[in-house]
Amino acid sequence: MTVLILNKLYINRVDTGELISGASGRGRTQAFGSPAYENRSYANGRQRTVSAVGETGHIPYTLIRMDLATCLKLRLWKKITVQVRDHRGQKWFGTFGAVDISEYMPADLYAASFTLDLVTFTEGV
Amino acid sequence: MQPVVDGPRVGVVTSAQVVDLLQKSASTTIGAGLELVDLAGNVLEDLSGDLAGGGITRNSYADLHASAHFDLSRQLAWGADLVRPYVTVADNASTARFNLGVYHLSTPNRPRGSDITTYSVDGYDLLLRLNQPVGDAFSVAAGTSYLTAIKGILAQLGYVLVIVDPAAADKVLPTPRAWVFDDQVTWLRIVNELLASIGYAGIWSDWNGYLRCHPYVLPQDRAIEWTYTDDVASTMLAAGGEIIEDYFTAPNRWVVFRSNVADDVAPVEGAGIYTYVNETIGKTSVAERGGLVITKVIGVDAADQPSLIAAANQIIQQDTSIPEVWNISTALNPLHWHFDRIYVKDAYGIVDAQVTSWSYKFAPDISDMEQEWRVIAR
Repeated sequence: MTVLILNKLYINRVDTGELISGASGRGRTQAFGSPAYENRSYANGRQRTVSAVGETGHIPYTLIRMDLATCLKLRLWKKITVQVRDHRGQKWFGTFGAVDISEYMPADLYAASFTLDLVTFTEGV
Repeated sequence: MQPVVDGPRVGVVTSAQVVDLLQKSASTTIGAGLELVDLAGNVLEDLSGDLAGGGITRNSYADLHASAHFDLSRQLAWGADLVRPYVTVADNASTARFNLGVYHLSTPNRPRGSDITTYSVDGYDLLLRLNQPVGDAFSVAAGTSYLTAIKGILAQLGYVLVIVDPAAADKVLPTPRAWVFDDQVTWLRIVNELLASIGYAGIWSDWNGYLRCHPYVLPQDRAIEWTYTDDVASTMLAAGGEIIEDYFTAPNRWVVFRSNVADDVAPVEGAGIYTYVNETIGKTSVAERGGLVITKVIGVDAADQPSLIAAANQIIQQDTSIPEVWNISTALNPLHWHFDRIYVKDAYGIVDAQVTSWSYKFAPDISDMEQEWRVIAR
């Protein structure tokens, strides 16, 4: 099996293919869940779980050493479906609703954080 | 109740698998979908990808038995399109789909000021077409078959999927039947009155979008369709709920008088008035109410004193039959439909009952099922 090792985080708009890339922070925790999952109680104490079909996924990312123009571009990509490929070769489709921008050393660079909410996406064949 | 294996479940799951899914499975996954259909039941488009949520409510005593609610992320031909929702129930072993009827869509409000548009639209029972005023006088000639007359009305209104039990196929109107021009006369009322004339139950629409007409059978004479118990391995009953048996205002003395006697004749007991006191029978009797007498005075049109007494006895029977109603939550049981016969065995009693209303939400908002049961016998 071929494993693709990337040296950056790549973010592409699905509609235009436009790219933002950069070095990324580490320590991402990928969170996956079942929507509407609930453990319910019934007569005589019976416990039974119920959930909706599908899976939710949320992956936080931080791009570091970003110039301000790229940060502003990232802000414009909120709610737009993007493809994200990380340096471990994983690829996800999703959207993000917020971008947190913080100052980074040196003074003209920034770090931009967002959480990718995974969406169901069918790639063209 | 839907047959356990019917429609989209045929050839996919067995009866035992469906029962296991609904009763025994320790963990179930609920899905939902929506199809654009026509009156012939043809699927025109799958709208499932645009269904963001919704729910369905059915009340077997209502004129329009079912209503639904859908959150949709696209526009449809509001007020014209027909949709058929469904739910799926799955566990690790099997998946079963349950159609939930066909609905007319209303005209939803359109949100302003948001780039994320969700149309929140109501759906109405397929009987909506029938539940419209005739707008004219209507009559059925003597000698016409009741079922032929009913089928003619349904066809005239565009219904294609109709299942009519032929048991009364040979019954014809002995005399002409006419409905005068009146804003209260709907096609639904005419159909249901014709059905009642031959001992049929009121018309209803089923899970696949068929209209159904069949002979009325007393609830106690119908076979049990589902059993609810508090067995810990398979119970679907949620804790809580309530039992309602409201007889606080029920009368135990009736004074029934003829309202159509001549003006110059005052009705008296035995000649225009019939009085009955329930001294000892049941919870509403004078004795059981601690001597409290609650009188109901009512006038009826009656041809003579025996007719007055017969009419009074019907009123008395109705007033003394106080229904015991259970409002209860259960795990999802999408087989439920119209006046389902059930058997219940739990800590609160062993009862025969029928399901008279129910509601639940579609995925992704998954709720337990809210049900109303009317007890037939303990």
